[in-house]
Amino acid sequence: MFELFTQTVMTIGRIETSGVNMLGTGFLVTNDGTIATTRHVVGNDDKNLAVLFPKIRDINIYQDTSDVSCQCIPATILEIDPFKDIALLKVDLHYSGSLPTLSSFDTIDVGKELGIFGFPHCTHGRRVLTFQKAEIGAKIILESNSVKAKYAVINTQARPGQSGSLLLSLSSANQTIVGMLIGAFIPSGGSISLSGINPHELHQTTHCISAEYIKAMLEGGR
Amino acid sequence: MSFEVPNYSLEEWIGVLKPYQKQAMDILLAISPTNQHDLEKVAENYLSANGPTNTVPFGGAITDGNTKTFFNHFKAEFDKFVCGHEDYKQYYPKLEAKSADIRLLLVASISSAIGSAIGISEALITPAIVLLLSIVGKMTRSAYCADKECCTITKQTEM
Repeated sequence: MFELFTQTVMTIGRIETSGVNMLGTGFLVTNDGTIATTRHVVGNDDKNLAVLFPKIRDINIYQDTSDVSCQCIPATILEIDPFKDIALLKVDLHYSGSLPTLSSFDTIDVGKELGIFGFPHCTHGRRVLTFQKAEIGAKIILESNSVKAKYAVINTQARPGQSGSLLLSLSSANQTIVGMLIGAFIPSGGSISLSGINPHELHQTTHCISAEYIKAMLEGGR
Repeated sequence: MSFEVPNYSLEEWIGVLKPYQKQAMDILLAISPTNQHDLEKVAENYLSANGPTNTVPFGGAITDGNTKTFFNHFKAEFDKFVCGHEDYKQYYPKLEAKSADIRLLLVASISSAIGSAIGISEALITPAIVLLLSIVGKMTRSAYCADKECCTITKQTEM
């Protein structure tokens, strides 16, 4: 059932002299190599940006955490929405299978369960495609420089590397992507660090953007 | 080298943006008056947006938090391009081509040139460039460049 996501959910990284610095998660949204991720994962510059080609074909195999080999595909930034924290990347690959449709949180009720595919802790060098489940706890509007957009709170604690993870509706017969993980709620002025961990981030209020905005970025030429 | 920035309405300039960019720009413009100073401020607001409020990111590159410095750098490069600075002379011949839509040619050329110069994706800066071009188009290029520091170089390089 989830084999598709072993091929379409990927790690985003930047090639440095010491190797590949893994930055977060992204996922394929068109068959000709467009990948959605968050803007903060890629920053503003696509110099040395790359997507790590999928390593497994079966989600049930044991992923060898000591295997640090990877195949990188150069990526360029195609679109950026700085308000909604979305970036679209372009890589030279073609996927011939059928991709899930991009939908919206409008199509799923609070309390319903979602599937999440991402690479938690990849920013610390651990590359493990991980599936999680969580319910939608609330639908919310968040603002960025006066521009408002639709988000959902999902009831799970997210960790670095999961930004850009896809959110899959598990309630419909057809698999649809309803959102993308962005980050976690943090109160204003709530940035403190204890051994690299900010205690204000340790909760189950994870913010995700509705996938309709990814769809909108794919539409309409200049 | 000679190119002109046409005097289109703000709406016509915004019309070259992609729908998602235009939608955000329409919101920013709706809350700001549209004189020159405020259009610059809107461009700055667009470029300083950094995702939703009260949300801590989980991964990625840490971007420079000083948005004012970034905007000033971007704006200085825009002025250099528009006012004929030596650094951008390789781009000017292409602007003389008789294009079906000079707006698209200008926006694409300036986004690409400045994006390369300051190491930033053109997808991010295009909406801000569109706003600044609308200011230049209204004033004419020579009037816009008259009080710019880079204009001394402009005169030497024969605008």
